[in-house]
Amino acid sequence: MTRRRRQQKIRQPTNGLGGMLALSLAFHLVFFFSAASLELFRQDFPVAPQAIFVDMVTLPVASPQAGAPSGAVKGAPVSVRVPAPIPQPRPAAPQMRQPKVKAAPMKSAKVPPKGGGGETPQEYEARLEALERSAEARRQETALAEIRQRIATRNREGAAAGMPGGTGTQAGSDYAAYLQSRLKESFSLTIAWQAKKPLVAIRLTIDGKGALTSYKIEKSSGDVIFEDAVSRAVQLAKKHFPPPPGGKELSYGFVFRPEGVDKR
Amino acid sequence: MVFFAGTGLVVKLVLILLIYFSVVSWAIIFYKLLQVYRANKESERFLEFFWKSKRFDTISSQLDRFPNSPLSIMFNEGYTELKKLMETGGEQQIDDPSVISTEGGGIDNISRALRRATTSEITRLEKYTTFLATTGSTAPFIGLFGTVWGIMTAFKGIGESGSASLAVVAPGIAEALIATAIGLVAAIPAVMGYNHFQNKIRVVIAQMDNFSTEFLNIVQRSFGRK
Repeated sequence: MTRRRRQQKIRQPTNGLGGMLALSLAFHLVFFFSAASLELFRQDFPVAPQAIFVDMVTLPVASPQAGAPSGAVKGAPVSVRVPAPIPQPRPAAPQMRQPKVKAAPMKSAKVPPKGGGGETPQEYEARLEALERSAEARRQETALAEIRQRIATRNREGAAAGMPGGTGTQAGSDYAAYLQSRLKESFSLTIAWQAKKPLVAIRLTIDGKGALTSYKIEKSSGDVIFEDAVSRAVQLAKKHFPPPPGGKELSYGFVFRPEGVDKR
Repeated sequence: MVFFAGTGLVVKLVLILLIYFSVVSWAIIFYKLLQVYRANKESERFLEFFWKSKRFDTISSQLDRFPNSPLSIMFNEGYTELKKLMETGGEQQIDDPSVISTEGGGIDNISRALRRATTSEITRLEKYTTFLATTGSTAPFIGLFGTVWGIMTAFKGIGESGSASLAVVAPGIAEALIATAIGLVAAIPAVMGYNHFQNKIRVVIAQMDNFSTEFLNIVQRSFGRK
């Protein structure tokens, strides 16, 4: 009998490496599934760059209790872009001011290059003031014309200027950003949580009339208190949802964290 | 598995390789834990039985009770060689057939048989541990390679997109760093396991050396010619 046979006779077969490979594979699968369920490799929801909705100008409200200007959509703040200042016309060349500084006793014969030969400093100042007044009047006229045009556009489209019935080019005309602002405001009133890093991702569907038709929690960190706070914030905010642009049903995703609300 | 899906081909291959290393390393760790535990446990029992027994043939008949003990294997080898010497002693056996000559190389034969058994058992115990050492030393570098490749790809993408904001840069780098993390996850248990088993195997080798010396002493005392 050879030595190897003798050793085999003594040594009974033990669990080979194959069985241990199966065990190891099972161990790894359990680890990865546990990690997935515990969100060790949690991927944060991709959020769109935050658009901050700022009410630049609030038009005068006829009745403060109503909360919105007449003709505007209920609860929708109106945004009006402040007209850019018109560049001031240059009234005179720098050398025109020299006689004013150097006062009357100076010889005036050398001074007025453009105003005619017989213009005195007093006449020159009067002409300058007239020029300034006319420039200011032109600037005010232009600003008023722009405001009138915007109001006319608003009335023609039957919606408030800017949000949410705007054309999409004005500042703050992003409907989702508007909803985000409303949700953020409401969320600041209801926020509460107990988990370390709570997170709730929701999807809202708004019909053509601005009514919330669907509210779905797509992802949650499991904090019931935080979920309840989000739910109450949505219930508060939905009162201020205006009809979407175009009157079409829209669906948006939002991510709630203690730090705030983000669009998805 | 979102992190896995978002990586490039090279990083995916690196991750697959590292996961393979990790799975095999853990299989070896489990296998060796069981093997070394059984070897130690049965060696203790065998030694106890060996010192209580008076006769080698009684011990030899009970070796099936200690299948995983390296000492029982050594005893079997030594006893088989001893029996051969006693059976084929021929001219060397002068008066008593139970006496073997120490001059004709009888004890040396038994010593060589024991040394051979020791070497065989050490080889068996150390089998696969080299894979642990390889994993421990190479897995972090493989992971680092995946990370470097991933960051290179991420920067290339950033260059093409023309934006260098944190939102653009961070996800690519985070995905690339996963390779290093998995490399370390594979390497750390492998290094710990390798060191643990080396220490345990060293103890078993010392036990075998001691047993070999004791066995030769007993043979010399009981069967050696004066």
